[in-house]
Amino acid sequence: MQIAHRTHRTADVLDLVGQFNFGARKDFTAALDKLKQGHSTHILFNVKQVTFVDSAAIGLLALAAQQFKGQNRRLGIVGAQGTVKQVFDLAHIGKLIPLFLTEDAALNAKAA
Amino acid sequence: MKPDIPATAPATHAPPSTATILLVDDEPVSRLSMAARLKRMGLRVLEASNGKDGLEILRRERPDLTILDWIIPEMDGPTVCEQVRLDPDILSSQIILMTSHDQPEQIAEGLARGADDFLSKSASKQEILARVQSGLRAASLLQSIERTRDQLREKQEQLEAELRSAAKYMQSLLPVAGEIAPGIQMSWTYRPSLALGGDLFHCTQWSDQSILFYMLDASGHGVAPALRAASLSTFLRPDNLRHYMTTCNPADMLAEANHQYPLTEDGSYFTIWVGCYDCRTRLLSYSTAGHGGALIQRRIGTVEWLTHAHLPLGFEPDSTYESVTIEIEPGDRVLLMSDGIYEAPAATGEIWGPQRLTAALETHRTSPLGTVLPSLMAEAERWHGAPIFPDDAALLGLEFRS
Repeated sequence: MQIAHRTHRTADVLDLVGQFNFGARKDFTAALDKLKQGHSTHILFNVKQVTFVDSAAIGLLALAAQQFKGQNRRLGIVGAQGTVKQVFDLAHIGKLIPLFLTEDAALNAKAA
Repeated sequence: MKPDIPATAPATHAPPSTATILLVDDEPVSRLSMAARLKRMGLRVLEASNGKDGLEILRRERPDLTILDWIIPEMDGPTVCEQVRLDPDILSSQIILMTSHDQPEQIAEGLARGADDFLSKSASKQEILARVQSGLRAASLLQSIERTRDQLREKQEQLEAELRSAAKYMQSLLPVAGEIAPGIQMSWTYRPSLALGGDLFHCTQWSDQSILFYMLDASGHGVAPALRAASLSTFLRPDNLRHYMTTCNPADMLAEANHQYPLTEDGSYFTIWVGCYDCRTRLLSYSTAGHGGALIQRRIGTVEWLTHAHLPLGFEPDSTYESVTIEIEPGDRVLLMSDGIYEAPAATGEIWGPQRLTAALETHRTSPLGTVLPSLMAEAERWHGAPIFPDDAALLGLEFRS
């Protein structure tokens, strides 16, 4: 999986591209570690170009949710569709990290 | 006369002074002269006067380096080289081919037929000895690589033996198919993606009147998920669960398991479906933590999925779980499965999916339970196009008779 970092308004955005599975663990963790030092209000995982997610990806997202829980920063998953969204829904990952259609929708959403 | 090059070179991979050299030359004077020079370097020297004897000694003694004359009786030098390269036991032998004809074409032919280096008979003493040193260094490196390879093979064999042993243990945790309670038939099929899988399932009596059954899926594949799955399976034994609860209550079991098995540092976790069936009331209570693979096929053929969205185990320390209760009719079948079945991908990447699985189930509705599960596995395999799926694939089926 390829991971690219950019900013959008007040958010750090990680663009995830390809297969989000156990093989992405190191890169995903490293990308998260970099974001921990930042001060953005939101951290968004844009999964629009993710073609596959497996159980390991769910675990990594859950870890991310735990790691940022104590900080005053909101996490969001953006652009999940098709099978990827089905897997997220089945694991109920939205309960930990809300799912949004767009990055602006994520930034405009009120805190839960 | 210039002194011989010393036997001990300062290079990192200096050959051992006890190295053995095989000298194959039919000219006694030339052979004796070369042998004497090599012995002065502290090397052990073996001698042969023809190719056939040379090859025999090479096979028997495995010298570190062979110096081979091109023209020798019985079998010429290049043919000896070819024979050596065809024999897996000695193919890495270092060979210097020697001849009085040192035309480029001949050098190329000698190297092409298996020699490692080439030496003209008119070469100076220094050049000969330098090439011997070079050949011995190469031999030393090759031997070091071969030793490492052998050690790796040995370790690999040990690991594989341990994996086979662990897989056998995991198999021992699986239930024995058959009638698990009066009127309840159970069957299963399982195909781990590696030697060790992270899926486990079981079906056991909680009491005389109720049975407990579950399917759990540890994220990931291999040894660590298998060990974690075995640990959770042990936790789910009725004699252990009775330390935490008095009744067979799936929601309570998952709440307790959620405390016991938090998300690990590397993001490993479980999904699980647990059911308790009361034989007197014919009621099935179930609860799930992120596991979508459970359905009931009613006697009349309709299929209902027994799932609801919930976080997997360990994601939130204070998660509570909901038990759903349904009535079981005679002839109904409950199937639990891991996602490796319905998420089996075709070559195009498209997954088999719950809908195709349901359709396949419909096709086999009248078949005995014991043949339905392998048939479903076979259909998933046909879709995937290979016998091993990318994820563990498990199916557990219960048929409730009157």
